[in-house]
Amino acid sequence: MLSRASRTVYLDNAATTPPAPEVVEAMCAWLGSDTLYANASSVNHQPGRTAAAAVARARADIAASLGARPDELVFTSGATEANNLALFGAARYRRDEGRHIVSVRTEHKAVLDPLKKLQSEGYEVSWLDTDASGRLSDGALARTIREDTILASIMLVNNETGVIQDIPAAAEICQKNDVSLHVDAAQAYGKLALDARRLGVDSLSVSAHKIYGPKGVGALFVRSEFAPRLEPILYGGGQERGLRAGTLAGHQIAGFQAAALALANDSGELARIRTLRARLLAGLFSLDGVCLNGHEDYCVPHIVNVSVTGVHGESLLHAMEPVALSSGSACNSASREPSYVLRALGRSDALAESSLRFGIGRFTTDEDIDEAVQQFRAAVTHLRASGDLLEDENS
Amino acid sequence: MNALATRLFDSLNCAILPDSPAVCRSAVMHDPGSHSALRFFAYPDRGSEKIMLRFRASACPDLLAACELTCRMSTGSPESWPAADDLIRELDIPIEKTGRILLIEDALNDLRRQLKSGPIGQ
Repeated sequence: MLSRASRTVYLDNAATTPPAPEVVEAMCAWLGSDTLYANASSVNHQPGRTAAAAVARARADIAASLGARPDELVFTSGATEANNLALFGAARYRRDEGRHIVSVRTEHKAVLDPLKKLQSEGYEVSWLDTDASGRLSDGALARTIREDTILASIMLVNNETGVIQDIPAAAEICQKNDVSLHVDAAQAYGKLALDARRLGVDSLSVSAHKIYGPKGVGALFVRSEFAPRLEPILYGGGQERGLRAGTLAGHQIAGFQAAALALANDSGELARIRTLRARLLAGLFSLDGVCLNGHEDYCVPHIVNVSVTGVHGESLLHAMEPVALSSGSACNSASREPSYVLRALGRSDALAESSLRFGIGRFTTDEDIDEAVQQFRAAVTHLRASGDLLEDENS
Repeated sequence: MNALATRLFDSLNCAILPDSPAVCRSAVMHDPGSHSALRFFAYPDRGSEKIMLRFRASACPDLLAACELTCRMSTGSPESWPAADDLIRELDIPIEKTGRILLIEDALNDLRRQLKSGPIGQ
């Protein structure tokens, strides 16, 4: 008999984080203000100037959290839009120089799908493989760049496995070859010390809701020297230096600012998350047949992805239901597609399907981890007991 | 999943096989597309002419619940074994998963054939 946890434990912080109290407070203050409702572009009147000044302060704080200058930040609706702007913007601007793009098989769909669209527009994309841990193979990028390569897109931290790619090395190769480099840093933001300029990238996308901010707002860092080489994908009022038209969502930006400021004040957070990760791994690996998906060293501590042998993936997720987490399968109504990321790492369909991603966050406690481990052990034991003897001969 | 299916999935009591089982028949079915595999066992019920049905399966939650319900609905003879339609209706199986419920029917039909060829224990 499967005993389920009596309360929901939230361990899906890699998918999204709950808004922090200071974020809610900042957003409510903005929405309740007598003046901040004004359009930040309407600087011909005082309320507009007040809103513009508040947005400017937020821009400076958020830029500082990324190691960027304020004028290098373009507000977007999130990392997906930021990725779209970076990829379509750079590829279309440089279309006359070449049509070859390099990326990695394990990128997020928010990069894969724009690149597939570019393929349909006549661009050629070379997909780099990773090793079994999810790291880019040595020399793979340099070997793939050609005379007509104009753009490379490599994520900093993988959203499923937490694996960190060597972006400074990739940036050096791209600079040598005059290849624009875009980095999806949605999963790195708040987990690694980000310094976009020092990384050497041309553009870098982040999202507020991954750092306890609101959904619906993100940003694209665009290195100032690179901005003239980016075509907008939205046209309208010329906001964001012409790169992203549309009235700025002040309350979202205020929430984003509060979340970014909180990052600066969580110096002990990383160590605490590492301790929780160790506790979780010890619990998960106390069962046989559990393997880590990802790299043991080059990874953020917030993401733990494991596969479990001898259980059906969908049933495992269902049995774990009091624990909110993600599986390695993309569900649709008819079937479950094994994770393309884990397949790219060489995992079998069955192992990819029986994977679980635990996302540890700021509000995760020791008790949450213990509850999740207990539920995991109960679920795996329950399912293995019911699936044993399948291959035996008739007795 | 409906409440009954969830209760059955959480239980899976009929996946517990009898200790030191006597002679039994079993039938295995696989569906590689859904990574489903199941095996039904027919045991002689001690001291009676009845047949006890048990299973083992690695499958989605709906199919596991259906296997459990199959065993619970069985009253001791192959005639009492439920049809796929009964299981689909009782458990509100989603339309896209009804195909895999037929694995149960295939396994039960196989068991029926085996039992017709000779009673358990002979």
